[in-house]
Parts: sequence; C-alpha cells; structure tokens
Amino acid sequence: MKSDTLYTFYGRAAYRVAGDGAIRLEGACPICFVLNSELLKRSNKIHPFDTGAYHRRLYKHVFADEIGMSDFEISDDWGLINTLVSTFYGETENYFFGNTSSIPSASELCTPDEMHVRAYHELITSSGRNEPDDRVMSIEVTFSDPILLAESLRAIIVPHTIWNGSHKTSWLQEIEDDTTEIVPYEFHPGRAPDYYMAHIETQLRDLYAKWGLM
Amino acid sequence: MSSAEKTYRIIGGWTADESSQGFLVPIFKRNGSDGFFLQICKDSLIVEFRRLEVDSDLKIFPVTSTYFVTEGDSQMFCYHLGKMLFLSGSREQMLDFVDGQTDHLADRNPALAVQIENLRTEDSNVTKLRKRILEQYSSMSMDASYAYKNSVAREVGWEKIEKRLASDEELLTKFREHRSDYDFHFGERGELKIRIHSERNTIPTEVLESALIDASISLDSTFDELIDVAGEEIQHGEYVDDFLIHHVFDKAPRQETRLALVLKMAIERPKHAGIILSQYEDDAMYANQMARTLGNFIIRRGLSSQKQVLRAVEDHLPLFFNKSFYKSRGVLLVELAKHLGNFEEVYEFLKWKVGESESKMLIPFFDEIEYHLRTWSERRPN
Repeated sequence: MKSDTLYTFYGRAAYRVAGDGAIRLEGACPICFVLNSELLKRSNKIHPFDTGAYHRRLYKHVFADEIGMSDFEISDDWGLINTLVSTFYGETENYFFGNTSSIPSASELCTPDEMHVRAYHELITSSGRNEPDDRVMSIEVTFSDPILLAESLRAIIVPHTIWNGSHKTSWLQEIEDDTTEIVPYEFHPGRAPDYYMAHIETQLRDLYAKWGLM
Repeated sequence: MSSAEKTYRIIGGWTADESSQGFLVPIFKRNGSDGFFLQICKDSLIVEFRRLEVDSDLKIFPVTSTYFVTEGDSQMFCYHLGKMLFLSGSREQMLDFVDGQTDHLADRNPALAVQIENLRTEDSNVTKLRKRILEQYSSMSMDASYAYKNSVAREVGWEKIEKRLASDEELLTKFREHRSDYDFHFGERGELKIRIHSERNTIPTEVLESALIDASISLDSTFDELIDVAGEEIQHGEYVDDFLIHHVFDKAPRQETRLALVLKMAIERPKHAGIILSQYEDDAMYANQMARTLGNFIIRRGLSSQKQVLRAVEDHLPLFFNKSFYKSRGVLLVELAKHLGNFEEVYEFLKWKVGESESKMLIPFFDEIEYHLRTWSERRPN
C-alpha cells in the first residue's frame, strides 16, 4: 500500500533542486523549513546518509551489495544522532558546515572488524572527483505521520519577493507568529538552483548562530 | 514520439503567492498526455519538459490564447498584471512589457521591481531599490532586516568573486560548488566582512581581498549609512588585521596550517608583510613566535618587495623546522608544501628536505609532500 513519507535532513539544508537550468521565478525556488528537533521523537526512520542516493547505487564503490541499507538505520534511539555527530565531527558546527576535515582517521574511530563503521567512514571522507555531493553525510530523518507546522516550525527561509514590507504572502502570514521566524533571502532571477541553496545554507547558519547552536 | 506529442501547450501560470502582479511559473500540457509539465531551461532555451508531480487541484492563472512550444524554443516568460496575463518567448519583449513599471513599483513593491531590473542586468537601479526594501524590512522586524542585509552582502560578494575568477574555469567551478562557505556579512559597525574556513578555501587570498573591497564599494551606494568602506581601511593596516587574520584563519585546526597561511598572506602582500606577521596573534606559542620573529626581521630590514620577503622566508625555514615540536615537523612540511609550494624558494627547501632526511618521523609524510610539490610543479607555466 502506498504511504506518504516526509523526507528531511537533520540540521542541514541538503536537499537539491533537480536540474541545472536557471530559475527565474520564486515559484521554482527552494524554500527551507526549519523544524523543531523535538520532532525526532516522532520520526519513522533515521539513516546517516541520503537514502535516495543509496537506492540509485551511488554508494556502490564503498558498500558491498551484501550490506543492506537497514544495517545503517539508527531509528531506534534518536539520541544516536548526537553520538554520531560528536564521534565523527567533534563539534556540531562541523556537521552543519559539512566540514569533513575534522573527522578522525578510521583507525582512531573503529577496529578493522567494525565493517559498517569503516564503510561509513570511507563514504563520508572519500574525496574522489565523482563522489556524491554533501547529502552523503547528511543525516536523513523521515516521518510517516502528518506534522503540524503550527507546532513544529521554527523558521522558514524564502525568496524575499514573497515576504517583504510591501508584500506578505498570505500563507506565510498564517505561519508567522512568535515562535516561527520568516527569513528572506535575496532572490535574483536567472541563477542555477545551487545558487539559491547556497543562500539558504548561509541564512540557516545565521539562524543557528542567533539561537546559540554554534 | 510523434511531432504532435513533442508539442506542448501553455495553459497558464502558477505562483507561490497571491499577489496581483508578478512573474508566474508557466505550466504546460502535452497532447495525448494527462498532467502538467514544467519547462527546464538552459541559456534561455527550453531543453526539456518535465512532468510536475502535483495534485490535480493546482490553482493556475489560465491563459486565454493558444500558444505552442517545443524543446529548443526560447524560454517562456509569464507575467500577470491584475487579470491580464502576458506571455512571451523573448526576454527583450518581456522587458518591453514591464518597462516603465519599476518606477511605479519602487514604492509599492520594490522586491518585484528588483526582479525586473535584474532581468535587465543593470546594477544602477537595483542598488536604490535594495535600500528601499531594507527600509521596509526594518519597519517589519530586526530579524528580517538583518537576514536580508546579509543576503545582499553575500549576493554582491559572490558576484565579485565570480567576476575575478571568470578566466579560470577550474577555480570558478570549485567556488560555485562551495559558494556557501564564503559567507559575507555585516559586522557590528556595519563594515563588510567575510567568514571562511581556511581548510575549505580554494581560491587565492588576493581574489577574496579584492572582492571584499569591490563589494563594499558596490554596496556603499546602496547602504551608504551602514558601511565603512573596507578599501579605505587597508590604508591603515586595520583591514588586514580585521578581515584576513581573524576571519580567514582563525578556524584552521593546526598551528602549522595557520603559520603556512599567514606566511602565504605575507608573501602575497609584501608591502604589508612585516605588519601582517608581527601583528599576527595565534593561540599557539610556536606559530605566534615564528610569525613575530619573521615579521620583526622584515620590519627591521625594511623589506617590501616580494623577492625580498621570499628571501627572508627562505632564510627562516630552517628555524621554523628546528623550533617545531619534533612530532609535528612532518605536518609542518606538508602544510608548507600545500600552501607555499608554488614559490620556488620554499619548493627547493622542501625538495632538499625530502631528499636528505632519513628521519623515521618524517618519512611517512614524504608521499604527501611530494604530491603537493608535484601538483604545484604541474601548474607552473613552462
């Protein structure tokens, strides 16, 4: 039976808009929803990487066919996310920034027989030219139950043309309250999708800094 | 697929908001197929139509006339003004249509006016309009105003870096992949700053520096009440301290890396080399002492050309090596090779060190040192 699943990334704006053509309209622009971490308790599944890329066999250079995706699932204990981040990245900031240079060597982290940890280490530190993008080290959290934005949304990052002093989009007005920030980024038509993603990432970092998360 | 099936009919436009005026996402349908399609464009041409996965109740601003396009045609623009919808496959035609509206929109909807002016790819009006938008955000909330202001700082900063890298495709690609690491923002005094993790910086420091100065000048006409022009500060040496040392290098995890980077900065700015090195403050004693020793040497001798500074660095390399903790010497050589291997004097020192040393502490690092030296050597012009 087909069921709806919400895919999110923990702490990182790692989603990528498909295609490399220019975006000229805010309707096609990426928007980032920043959800409260309390929601983790209601998550369905948690994986330490983008499972979409796993399904497309983009990790086949590291993971043997016998290693299943579920072997990496850390859904049972959502506190494992913090353990994973502190073990591999030290500071949370390094994870947010996608800074893999802080990751200790494999021999410092695990013994040779801990094959899954080794494989994961290799996956996120491999610096080859044809590696998947930074989604590879973004922790993926999925939800199978509906989420109420009114309870869970801490901020939303949007093109400035739909949220400014002379024009406030009605659906954003409904969201705006004391607990939800609406953060505009300057939208220039005609840039590639990754350009707007870069804007979102930097705005997200400012938010984290303001909230004292780094 | 028959030719009829390759033809798409525009059925209307969709927008993320409900404003009475602005650009819409053109929505297409294909003969013989259900569902909606989007145009995927490159260089102003439609290269593909992609099926839009949405509910059937997508609210579309309908088109009354019939307009067909296929792959390879010009990108379609869709703009609505009240109940009127304007379609065009030409940017110039679209500009003709919206021409004259930006003056009217400047007060009522400067955000849309900025979009239109950007289609025109001219800067002059954009700067004025940004200021207007900022004033409006200021009246809304400090947070929105702060976010927008920093977003503009990044926009201009990134653009200036791209312009300087235009002739180097490899560096430009690297920059584009890691653009968000180059975080331009405003400081407490309104000055423009850049924050970059040194490990992730792949472009020359002088490019960052000139981009910062140029971006400040560009923004100055927009946010003139907010900005100290960084380009003026460099005259007094404060700029170097404020921007480069504290914001470019403070996050390098190893002191050997920081030392190599500050040496690189000094070599690339020989006129300021003495000040850069003598004022450099590092939490680690070794990097601090080495930089100051060389800085004071350069100041005492009045060295100001790159050749002179390089010679001074070359003379101090044995000191840097000998004073380094013996377990860290290999790392020091690797960092010197990585960041300074393009300078002949440093290159030769490292080649000699790799050739003559039989230290068990150093040998494990030789492969990496030689890799960096080889990389620099290959990049040198013949």
